[in-house]
This record gives sequence, structure tokens and C-alpha cells, in this order.
Amino acid sequence: MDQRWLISRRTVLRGLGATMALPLLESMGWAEPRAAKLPVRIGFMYMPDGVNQKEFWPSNPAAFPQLLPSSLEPLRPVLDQCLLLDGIDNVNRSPFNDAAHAIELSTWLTATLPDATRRDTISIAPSADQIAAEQLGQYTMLPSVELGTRANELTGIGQDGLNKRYYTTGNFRTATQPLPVMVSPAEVYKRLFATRGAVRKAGGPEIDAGQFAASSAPSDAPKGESLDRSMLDLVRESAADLQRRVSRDDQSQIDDYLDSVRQLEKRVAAVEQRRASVVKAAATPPVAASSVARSAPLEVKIPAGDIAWSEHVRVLGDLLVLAFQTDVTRVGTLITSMNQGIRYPELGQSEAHHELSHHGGDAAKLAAVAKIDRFNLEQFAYVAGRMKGLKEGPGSLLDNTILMWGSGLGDGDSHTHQRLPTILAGKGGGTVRVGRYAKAHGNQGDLLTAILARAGVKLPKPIGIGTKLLQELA
Amino acid sequence: MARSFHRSLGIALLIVSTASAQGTPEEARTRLSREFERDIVPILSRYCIACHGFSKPKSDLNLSLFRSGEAALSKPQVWKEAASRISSFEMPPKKEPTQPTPDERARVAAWVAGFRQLQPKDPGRGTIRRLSQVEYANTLADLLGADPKVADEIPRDEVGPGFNSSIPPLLMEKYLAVAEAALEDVIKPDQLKLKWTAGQLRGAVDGRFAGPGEVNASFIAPAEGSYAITIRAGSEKPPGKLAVRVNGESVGEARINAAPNTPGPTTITCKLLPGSAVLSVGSANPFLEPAPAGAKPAPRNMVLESIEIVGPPGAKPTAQQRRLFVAAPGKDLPPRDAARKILEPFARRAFRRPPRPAELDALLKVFELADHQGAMFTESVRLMLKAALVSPSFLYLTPDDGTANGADGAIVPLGDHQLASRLSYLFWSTMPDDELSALADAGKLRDPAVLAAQVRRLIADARSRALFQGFGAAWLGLDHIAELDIDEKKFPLMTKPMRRAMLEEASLLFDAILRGNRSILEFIDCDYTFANDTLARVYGLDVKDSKMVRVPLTDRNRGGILTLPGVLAVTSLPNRTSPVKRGRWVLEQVLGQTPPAPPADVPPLDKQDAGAAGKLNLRQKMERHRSNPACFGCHQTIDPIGFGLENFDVVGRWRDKDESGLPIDAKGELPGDIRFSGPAELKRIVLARKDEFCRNLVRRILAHTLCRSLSGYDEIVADEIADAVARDGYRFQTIWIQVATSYPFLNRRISR
Repeated sequence: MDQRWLISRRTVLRGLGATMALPLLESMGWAEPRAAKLPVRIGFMYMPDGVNQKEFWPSNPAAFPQLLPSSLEPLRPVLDQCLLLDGIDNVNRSPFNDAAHAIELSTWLTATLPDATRRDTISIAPSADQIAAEQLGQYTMLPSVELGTRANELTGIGQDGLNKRYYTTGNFRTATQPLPVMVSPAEVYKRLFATRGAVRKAGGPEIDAGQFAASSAPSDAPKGESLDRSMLDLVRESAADLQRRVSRDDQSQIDDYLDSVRQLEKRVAAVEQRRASVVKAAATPPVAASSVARSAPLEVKIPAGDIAWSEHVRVLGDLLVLAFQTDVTRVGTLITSMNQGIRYPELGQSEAHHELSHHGGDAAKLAAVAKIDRFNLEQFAYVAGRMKGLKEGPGSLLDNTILMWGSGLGDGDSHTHQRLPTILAGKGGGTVRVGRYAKAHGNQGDLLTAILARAGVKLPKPIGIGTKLLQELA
Repeated sequence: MARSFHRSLGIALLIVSTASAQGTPEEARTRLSREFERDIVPILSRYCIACHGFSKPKSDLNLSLFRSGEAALSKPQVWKEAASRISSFEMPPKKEPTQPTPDERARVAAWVAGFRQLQPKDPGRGTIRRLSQVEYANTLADLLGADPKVADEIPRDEVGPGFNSSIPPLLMEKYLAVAEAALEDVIKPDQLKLKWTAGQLRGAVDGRFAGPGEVNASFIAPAEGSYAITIRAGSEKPPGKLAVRVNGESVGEARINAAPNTPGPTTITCKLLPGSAVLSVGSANPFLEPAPAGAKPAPRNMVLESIEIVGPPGAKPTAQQRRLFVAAPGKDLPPRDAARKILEPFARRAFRRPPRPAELDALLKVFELADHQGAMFTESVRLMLKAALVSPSFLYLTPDDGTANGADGAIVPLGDHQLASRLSYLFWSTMPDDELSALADAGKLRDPAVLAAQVRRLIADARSRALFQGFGAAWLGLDHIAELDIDEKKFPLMTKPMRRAMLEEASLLFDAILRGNRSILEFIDCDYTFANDTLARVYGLDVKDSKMVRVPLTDRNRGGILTLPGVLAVTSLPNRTSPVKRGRWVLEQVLGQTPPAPPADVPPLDKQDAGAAGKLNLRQKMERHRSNPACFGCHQTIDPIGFGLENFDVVGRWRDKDESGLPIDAKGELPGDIRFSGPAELKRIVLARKDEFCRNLVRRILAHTLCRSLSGYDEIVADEIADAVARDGYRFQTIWIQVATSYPFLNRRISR
């Protein structure tokens, strides 16, 4: 449990390789008035290419968790917070039979196939996290965050004529808008937590203008952000005018644009508000802590230069945890790797994950895959452990979270969409019964529907191929 | 659905010439229908109906249902699939004794290829798209004079089929931040003029303080230089002395001679460095003197009315600033009018067309937002320009301005300004230059002679080097070579400089063939390349230059894109070569065929003798592809090509032995009894299929240019262009000129 208290109440951005500390803000409260309970957060962590099934599923469920399959060993420290769900199938990928890897990630949070008649463009469905973000994001600075270890903008047409973005995208804001992931920890930190851009000075070091907040009168405060907001307002009006003149196809492009400008305005306003709190907090004497007992914000070390995959995942995980803890957002996805371009030199492996996952029954390859599964679950256990260690109310942050780990394929060799490896961590605000293994009777859509419902998201209908709420969470 | 991959090498294809016969779609329909009944039906009866007839049709394919040409044309997919299997010798199955002659196979393929003429003339849906990262960065550079690196935080992406044009919120944030940074770079605020009144000064109530009081205020000094600080104050029992400090250091002392109720100005000057600063003003003689005997000294009352800071005096404007600031507010020119004078030419260039009055008004409102809050003129202009840079008219190519009137489905030509943008972004990945813009303004650009001349000019200009980055790199698969995963322990040669050199080599080759208007067949085989000292190690050549130089190649195994070290690297696995990847690359990228993915039910190795399998070399393991009929169809073509290139290791070095020390066997046999050994002979075989290569390259360039997959009428256009290129000695520039003057390029279909 992190008992260290912060010494400085100011945010100082010292550049890469620094440890970031946040001021303990009074405004770190839940924005909705008189929230009856602590908000539930939803997180997703993705691994491609399926798992070594034999080492993942307990051969003797009755002896779980005393007897753990070898791949699940890393979960021991958080096992009492986990729910292992066995038997979840996702949507059959036909007619995209040749494009398993385009389908595995793009259907993981949508439980829907891409539109076959428009397969060279992105046309699928909003993903579960974005459906959640639409509602839960009203109360937070960012509706959601998407993080990954590799940039995911790909252009081109791949197998079965599918747009290549499907291979690298799990989050879809709308049926036609794929979301990029943020990769650089420094960039993530800046976007999520900095109170304003650092002041630039020719040839000099950067200084956070927040340092001077105390010495300037309120009307002195740089008016940059509110001018930006009004400016964006005018731009938006002008764009709406343009939209009326263009053809129908073009109109939907501009719709996208308008929506993003609106989001941007909201975000600028949120940054403004956050800065105002910093100024206020600096100027006024500390008030009594809010009624909710809380740990100090997680300290995150931002590494410099090239880093190994596992370190990258852990620092992104830390940032996600910090974002949840400080209510910057309540919905987050961490694509720990994608089918393309992931290899584990840290495990001494020189073949790519994809190649190894096509084991063909070969014992050496299967062992390598199990090693990869274990390594990935170590990172999942780390992130869950971080959440477990942060006090929030009567329990921990993890108690108020549902963190889902999984893959879009059951087995990388046969490319099956059945029996997807799925582990949930966290009690979801008391709505998930953890510390066990359960045989699931439902599909990926049912699972996503159940998770969202537990977080308080109102759904007009189940997600994708779902038809009900998966019961086994309770 | 797989395109017709299964074309055998042994068959001469008559398709190209028939496609150029242009009748109307109705005429084509009649002709194809007649051909079916006259030519195809006999072939089907002789070879196919036995299994694919009325009783128990194999694979549920009953060809006897198609009794007429019309019936046949109603199900084109069936025939495309059938033709592709017939061409690849998959059908009739090898065990059947009666096989069609090569001519008969070709006849079926040609008939099916004729389907594309059923398409009505249609340029396709023309939608706007946003600028790619490279286009955006280049445009900022040309528009503002900004450093293109300012856009580095925007993720790289490439124009072409499958380009995703959406602007998610994260990207919108980046556009705002980059516009801010670019403008800041260019419009460096070089002067400061700030004034604080009594109520705005911190540390005193209404500017009044007594004794050792102090007030302060913060500001940002824009540049190094001399600043004048004017303090309007009054003092009890003057002179009151005010110690003026910046960032804690003293910069002077102001003597206040005025009385408290009639404050007057005193100015001190000081030299400041650029950056954030805190100005503090405090009393230097806080107590009245002399103190009354024995009693505590009385504090001196001071009144501060205002503090103003101005400076430094007139820095020289940079060239970029002069270009932007064509007007300045003055006695006869109110700020808004000066802003308009600046805005009009800027918006014309930024939006790549004359701006509408409503758009100008909206932007001037932005100017006023800042102006009315008391910001400096340059600051207000900066906000206005920033608004222009985040507007859709800047970020997208190229929205209709509503003048293209037409019903839903109407086909209209592109407007002059849309065309100018399309041309400059295609060839230069940046905004139109003055000459193109002027022609667009004058409405002359669509004149065929003018258009052709402009296309030639754009190609000849050095900026057309952008064509490699925009098209060539993705075509060859080298666009992500910097991130390519190669086991660097096994292949320490694959450093960052080596990857750069590999990319640069391809870029220079592409550019040489383009600029010299050489035949595209030089892509397949040529006797030169470009290398520096790093890359030369792969070739085993002696090059001393650290810059890339042109290098002659005498080894016939080298030369051309099949043997570029970069290509050989991206078609390998992290730790070994992959004949399958290389075979696929040649088939897809060079010859335009798309092998389907392996079937999902490839039998696992444990069905074989695991022990024996371990002792086979790569080539022998891959022999399994030949023994399994599910694999053979495609691998009979893929594998031999890959083996033909096995002498090149992962980074492209020549080797005679593989990793296990066994000699490389680079022999291959392609369907149709075509035997070869080694890269030089493989290249000759590919060269023999020059029309396929030409057609493939034309199709790719057309798709890239239109930024969508080809469909329908586009295929006819591609055929016509390929013909024209072949007639013109396969010259590279001809492809680009033909594409940039083609029907789908110059027109669009409206959907309302």
C-alpha cells in the first residue's frame, strides 16, 4: 500500500526520465453531484494470437485456485480478485475466413463483424468501451483513453479485401471511426495530467506557468484556453455552414470533424477548470479532505529512450491506473500488443509471437506460447495489483473497477473464435463475484453487455451478437 | 474473394487488347452473351458438365442451369471463380484424362475478363479526404514557412486505398497544438505591451500600500532587449523610492515625486531576457523620515495607479512575417480592416480556393475575440490564422463549395481548384504553387493542353520526389522498414543507418526511373543502383562515400526491385528468410496477383513424423506444400519464386550456403514447365510477363491516385492506360500523365 505523501504540491515537468507527482486536488472529486457510490471503472487489456489452451484452462476446475494451470501462476497475488470465465465464444468470422487477425482485435470489443459490403473502409460498430465512454465520459475530463505499445495507423487493404486498420484497432468511436492509441508515456502523461502546456522560452528550459499561478492576479492569468474555446465555437459554426453545401458523402466526413471539435472544446474547458483548481489550491489554505478516504496519487516514472516491451506495458498500465484514480477517465483500453510486429526478445525468443502461435502441435512452440501467455499475465497481474494497492473509500480502486484481460482468438494455430481466454479482475463496485473459475454460458457480446451494465451504462440493446447479460459475473 | 490469382504462367493472355474495344455497356452485353453461347458452352460441355451438371453436381456447382448468355451474365461471380480455377490448372482436376487446350483455357479467361466492359462510364464516388500527415506537414511549411518537423507528433499515415479519413478527437487536439506551435514559430511575438491597473496588482488593496509593501505581476518577455517600465504612482512625503525587481533581481529604482492623490509617471528602463518573469515593485524607503524622537517610524503611504511595460523596440520582421503581415493597423486603418487585408490572401492559399465572404467574416470574428480582450494586434491575427488552420476547408481535400449543382448520381467535372489541389497533392504532397493556383483562378486548368503541360511540369519539378514517399515506399513494402522486426543479434548489420540506406536506395531508384522517364521494366532489372558505404556491405561492393551514390552493377543477379536489400529484408521473418513471403511479394506487388491466405485447417505437424520433420532443411519442409493438394494450387507458384531468391539472406547479402551449412538450391519450376535457377533467370521470367507488371503498376497508381480500391469502370480505364503505356515504350512518366488526365481523376459522381 502506497503510504508516501507528496512533498510538493506543484506539478513540475522536468522532461523525460522524471517521476511525475500530482497535486492533491480538492477537485479530484467525482463531478456528478452527490454521487451515491463511487464510480465503477472499466478497463480492457488485449493480447493477440490466443493462448496455449492446455496450460491456461484448469484441468480440474474443482481444485481451482489451489491448483493453478502453469500460465496462470503470475496471477497468484491478485487471484482472489479475479474471475476466470471459460466458454466464451465470439462471432464467427465467416465470410472473412482468410483474415483471422483482422477480425480478432476488431471484434473483441464490438462482438460484430465488419460490414462485408464496405470492407475496404472501416464500417463495423461502436465498441463497448466507446458506448460506455459516451455515458460515463460525461463526468470526466476525457471520455476514454486508448493506449498501446505500437502506433496503430495502417493504410491499405489486407486479406479478404478488409481495410488494414481492422488488424490494429479494437476501439471504434462510431461504426466508421477507428481510434488511434497513444504510445509514448510522456505524451500520455502530458495529455492526461499536465495542467497547461509548458511555457516555451527561446533557448531556455521549459517552465510550467503553473509555478507562477500564485503570484498573478486572476485577471492576469493567461486567457489562452478560453480564447481557444470561443475560437473553436466559431470554427464549428463555420464548418456546419460548409457542411450544408457539400454532397452527402462529404457531409458524414464533416460530421466526424464537428464531433471531434466538440470533444476538443470540452477538453479545453476541462483543462481550464483543472488549472483553475491548481491556482485555487495553491492560493487557499488546505481544506479538510473529502469524505472519501483515498491514497495519494500513484507516482509514475516516465522512462526515457527505448524501453523493453514489458516496461512499456507497465508504465502505460500505471498511467491508466493513475487516470482511473484521479478520475481523468473511467474507461480505458491497453492494447499490449497486436498480431503484427510483436516478438519477445526478453524471453529469449527470436521468432515472432504470430509464428510461434502457429504451433501445429509442435511441443517446443507450444512451450514458447505458454511462456508468452505467462509473461503477459504477469503484466496484467501488475496492473491489477497497482489498483489493489490504492485505497478508495472502504476498499481499493480495484474494488471499483472491472479490468478485463483477454484475446480475440482462442488458439492461434486454428484461429478459433471459440473459448476465448477471458479473465476479469476487480469487483466492479460490488457487482462481480471474484476469486473463482466459472463456466460461462454466453458469448462475447453477452459478456460486454454485462460488464457495461455493471458500470451503470444504460444499453438499449445487447452488444453485437449478445442477446442477454452474462450471468456468471455474479 | 480472391482476385484471379490462379493465372498460370504458361498461358498467353489476350485480355488486354480486347478490353480496349470500347462499345457501350449494352453492346458489350450482347457481344458477351453471344460469345458465351458460341464459344464457352462447347468448352463446358466437353470438360465440365460431367461433374458440374444436373445430376449430383460437385461442390453444388450446376453449370447446366446457364442455358443462355443472359443467364450466364446474371451470375458473373460464378464465372470469375470458374475461370480462375481453369487458368490455374486446378480444374479440371489433374486426374481427368481430357484436359482443355491452352487456347481453350485462354478463351474462357478472356471471356470473363470482358465482363468489365459491362460497366457504365462512371468516375466513381468522389469524396473528400483529410490531408495525410506528410501532406499536412508540407502544407504548413509552404503556407507559413514553418518547419515541417512541427507536425511530427501527428501519426504517420499514407494516402491510398483504405486510407482512413476520419478525424478522431485525439487527432483534432493535435491539429490544434501543431497549428499553435507552427504559428508561434513564425509569428514570434517580438514586442510586449502590458498594463496593469491598481486593481490587477497583487499585494495591495487598490494599489495602496504603506511601509514595506510590495506589489507584483507576471508576464512573459518575448525577446531579449530593452524594456521600459512606466509606473504611475504617488507618494506621501515625496520622493518615495520604489525598488523595481524582475525575478527577484533589482532593475532600478523609481523616484516618485507626485503626491498620493495626483499620481504621475516615472519610467525606468532595463534589459531583460526572454521568458516568464515576475515584476515586483516595493518601497525602498518605506518609513517617513525623520522618525519622531523615541517613537516608531511611521510608514510612508504609497499609491500605485498603474504599471506598464513595453519593449523591446522594433525587431526586424522575418521574411515569413513580412509575407503574412501585409498590413498593419494605423491611423487610417482600423485593426479589423488591417486584419482583413492579411486574412484574404492567407485564406485563399490556406483553403486552396477563393474563400467565401461568410468564411472571412467568421474568421474576422475570431480576430475580434482576441482584439476586444485587449490583445496585441499580432496576437489577435495569430488566433485568427489558427482558426483557419483547424477549419475543415484547410484540413480536407477539397470540399465542394456548393457550386457543383446536380441531382443525386450526376457526374460532374472537378472544379478548377479541386483539380489543382488533386494535382499538387498527388505529385508533390503539398498545396498548389502560385502557377497552378493562378491557372485555377483563371479557370484555365481543365483545358487539356494546359492540363497536360502542368502535369509534365509537376513531374519534372524536384518536388515530385514526394511520389516515392507517397506511393513507391508503400508499393515496395518499405514504408515501415524503420520499425521492421529483425533479430539484431543474428543480423547486427540491420542497424538504423542501414535501414535508412535501404529506404534511400529504393527512393533514388524510383526517382531515377521517374525523372529519366525510363521504361518501368528497369524496375524489374537494371544495371545500376544507389548505395553508400553502409549499404555497400550488403552488396559486397567497395563504396567509400557516406552519401548515396550511383553504382553500376555487373552481377546479373543484382539490380531491380526483386533484389533490393530493403525488399529482401521486409519479406523475411525476424530470424530467417521466408521463400513464401518473397514469392507472395513478387506475385502481389510485381505481378498484381493476390494469393488467398492458407486454409485454416492446415493439418498440424504432429500428423507427420515429428522426428523426421526436424531433420529437413527449409526447402524440404516446404515440399509438404506440394504433396498436399489443398496447398499445392497456390504454392506451386509461390514457393519456386521464393526459392529463386534464397541466395539472398535476411538483409540481402548473397550466400551460397544456408544457416545449416547446406548449399542453397535456387532452382524452381513454375506451372507450365517453366524451369529456372537463381535470381537472374527469375528476373527474365518476370520480364517476360511485362504486360502483367505494367497493368499491375498502372492499377496500383490509379488506386493510389483515386485513394480507393478500383471497381467497375476504373478497371477499363486501367486497361486503356496500360495499353497506352505499352505503346509508349513502357515509360514511367506516361503512367502518371495518363492517370492525371484520366476520366475518374477529372470527374466525380455526386451523391446528395
